[in-house]
Amino acid sequence: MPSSINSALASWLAAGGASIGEISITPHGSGWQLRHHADSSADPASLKPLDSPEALRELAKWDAAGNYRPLHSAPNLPSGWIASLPDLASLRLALDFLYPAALANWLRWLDGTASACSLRDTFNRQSGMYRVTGLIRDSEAESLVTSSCHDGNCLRKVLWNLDGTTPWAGFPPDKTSAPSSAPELGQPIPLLCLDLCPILLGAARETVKKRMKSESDAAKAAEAQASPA
Amino acid sequence: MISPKPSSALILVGHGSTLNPDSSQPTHDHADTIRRTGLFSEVHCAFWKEEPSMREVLRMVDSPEVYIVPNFISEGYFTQNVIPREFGLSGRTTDLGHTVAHYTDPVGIHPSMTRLLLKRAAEVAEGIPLTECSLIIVGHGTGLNDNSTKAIKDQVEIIRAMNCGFAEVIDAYMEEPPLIADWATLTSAPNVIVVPFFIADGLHSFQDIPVLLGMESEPTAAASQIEVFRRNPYHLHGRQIYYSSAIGTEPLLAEVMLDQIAAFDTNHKPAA
Ligand code: SF4
Repeated sequence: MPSSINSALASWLAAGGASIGEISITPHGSGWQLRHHADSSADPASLKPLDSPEALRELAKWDAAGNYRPLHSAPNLPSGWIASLPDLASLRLALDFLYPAALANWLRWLDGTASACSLRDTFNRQSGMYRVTGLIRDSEAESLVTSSCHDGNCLRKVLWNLDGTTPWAGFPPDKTSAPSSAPELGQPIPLLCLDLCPILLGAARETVKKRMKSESDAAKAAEAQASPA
Repeated sequence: MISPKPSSALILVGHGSTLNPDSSQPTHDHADTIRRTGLFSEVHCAFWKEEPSMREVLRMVDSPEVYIVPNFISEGYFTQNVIPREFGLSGRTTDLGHTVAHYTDPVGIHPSMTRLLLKRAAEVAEGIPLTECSLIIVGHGTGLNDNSTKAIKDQVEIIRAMNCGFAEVIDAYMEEPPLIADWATLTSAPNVIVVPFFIADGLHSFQDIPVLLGMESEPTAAASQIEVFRRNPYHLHGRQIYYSSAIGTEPLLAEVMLDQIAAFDTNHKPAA
């Protein structure tokens, strides 16, 4: 079955598309070579050779210091390697491992079949231990998002806003929008955030729980003061 | 083995973790195995706590039909609440617009799991007569809306009824009786095989259970995790403990996933 994502990827490559996240892609024989932007002018012989999508998945799991990278769009993919992939299918798989769903998010957003889900809509549908995230205050959400999602932590474009209308004041305009140029133009593929991630969801839970605890501590202290033993 | 499904995608859904890098590995490994068979037009993973999310992975699907297989050990909160909600599922089969999704039972409740448990037990205590072995299947216990305790009790009943020769087969749990910490009084054979009924080697199987068994005095550091399984047998209370890695890391689990899809087709697939 022909894949619309693979054919869009092929059109993008044919137009000279070469950049996604921290990676550059160059034609190599009948296949492709991938390396970190930081290694673009390095002697290939000085780079560690990798030859499978699975090897890239393992690489992307750790930062240069050996710490686990639960967020693939964090700007800390290690450099110092060069990956050779024999065909389009293995390139697609490698990109899905390096930047999970990035190609699909971009293409479905471009063709209008996927849209961003606001922070309120995401939090309000939670259950179990994350139900409390629905209680986050607007100001808490604003400072959480600006301190968590900035480019130093995450290269994704934050396309969702607070409630469907209120934008994030703390970001420059290019952090909350993405170029809508078609794959055929070969422009760098933007990493899009259409649904906020589990890390932010977890941080929102901590924010709300911390505030609730300090409110209840303050209430207890006030009560103790009002009725001294 | 199922016949090829060239118009169907497959999504394996795991829990994943933002802290533990081992949590998602078995799900990826089983996806690799199934991808290599070429049975499906595409094979993806999705996670609750890692990327891609369930909402994202649906955008990756290019096929008119997709099977969604929860890589979970039992029915519970995730399989009944979180996964259907995040994928927008309304039942066994849901037309999502660009694809029709079939939602199978979680891998851990398929009857083939018994075969995996017996294989693990035989491997970990290779060469030891079964009549001199007690088999303990260990789970967490007391989970929120979690039927893993029932899944383990069912397996224990099935293995007992098979009369395969074990001195005894029992279930035990980290947080509810019978407690795994009481293994020495719960069992009588000179050799005790312990198989954790978990989907991945997370903190429970690497750290918590070895401490409860008395194999380790304190939780081991992440870097030495794999050593836990390499030092069998452990000599404790005059007995030998053979400790296995989590059942979900067994490579044959990929076959159980395919069995679960075949079971879906037989029992639930709407007529074309
Ligand atoms: S919510 Fe989105 S933009 Fe923010 S850190 Fe997570 S993935 Fe990045």
